[in-house]
Amino acid sequence: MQNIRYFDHAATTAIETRVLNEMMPYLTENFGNASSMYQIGKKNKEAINLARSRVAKCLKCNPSEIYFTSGGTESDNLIIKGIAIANRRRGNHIITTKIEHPAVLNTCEFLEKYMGFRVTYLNVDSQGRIDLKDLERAINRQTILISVMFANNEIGTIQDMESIGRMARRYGVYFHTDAVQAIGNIDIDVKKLGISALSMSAHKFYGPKGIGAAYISENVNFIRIQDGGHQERRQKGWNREYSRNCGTWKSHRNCPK
Amino acid sequence: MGLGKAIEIAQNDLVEYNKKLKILRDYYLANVEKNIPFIRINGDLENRLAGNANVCFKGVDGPTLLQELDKQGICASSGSACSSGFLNPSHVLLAIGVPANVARSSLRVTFGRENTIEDVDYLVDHLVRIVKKLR
Ligand SMILES: Cc1ncc(COP(=O)(O)O)c(C=O)c1O
Repeated sequence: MQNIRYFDHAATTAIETRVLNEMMPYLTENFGNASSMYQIGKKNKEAINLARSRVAKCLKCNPSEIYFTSGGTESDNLIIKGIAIANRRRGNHIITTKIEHPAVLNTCEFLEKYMGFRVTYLNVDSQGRIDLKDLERAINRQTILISVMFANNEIGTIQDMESIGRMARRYGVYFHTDAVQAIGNIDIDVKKLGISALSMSAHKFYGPKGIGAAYISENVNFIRIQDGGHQERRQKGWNREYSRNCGTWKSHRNCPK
Repeated sequence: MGLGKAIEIAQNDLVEYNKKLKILRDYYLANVEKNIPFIRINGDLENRLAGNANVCFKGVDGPTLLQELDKQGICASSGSACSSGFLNPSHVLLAIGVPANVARSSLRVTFGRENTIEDVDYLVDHLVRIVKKLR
């Protein structure tokens, strides 16, 4: 068989040996349920917490703001639908771009088609960047969420995250970014960039397939869209949704329109 | 564990990794531009991921190009991975104003850790030959 020359790293990457070595014990001896009372389970809980703090360290956020998922697609769904549904009474408008990954585009279409949301799909220029003036014009009283990808998977264009974050904050709108292509390539400080929620996927940066993470700022009014046990602090997410009152949310919302 | 370790390694290696990818990408683009006429480089050259090169080879059918490259052991993609193999031009290329017929001739090359300059030479050599043949 001939040598393979691989130039498709934006699609997926091979798992790095150091990563695999670190995973092995947890796939073999330490397979126990992390919520259990026995030793091998408890060890796993420690491991999950270590992983969580490593992800948080990379994004410069709190470990409690990290939720593990099955990848970029699930993170995008979880965040966009979770924010949209939780904030439905405050508004039904979402802004995104025409060049998003299908995980975002199709999620927005779902919300339009079945949940009564309105979605603005921003144009991009010949370089693939959105115009901030277009973004500002698109924001109205009903706008609850702006979702703009950090870096594009096809043409690699990086958006002006800082300015988008600033505008989102000014109008009191949540800002989600699909950073699946950016993690591992760009140093990201979610607080500095004003990012409320972010999606990532391990197989794009030499990690295993089938795992990703969602960063959701603790200031975000958010509801889980998948029901089940209490893994990934779903119960806490649930409580958080109800502990947040509309007042706080409105107070930082100063949209002129 | 896998995600945590991978992100830690990636974060520690960020500067070096970007430097390496940019060298490979710029070398690739320079050689493609020098050796193949009628091309269009898509996307922002400044605000761009270091490892990404997206080029249209006008008059060449993207999927056919990928098949020919595959015969030489070269893995690349046309536009997004999800739309590879289909004839639909990429929604991203259309959004940046690439005409549909040109968008169908796109090749996305994304570099990574294991790639070398020698790999790029191999890629460009075959690209020059295949593009000429398909045109
Ligand atoms: C920008 C972007 N978002 C989301 C995804 C989906 O990620 P995953 O494969 O982990 O579901 C991808 C992968 O192709 C991507 O490039």
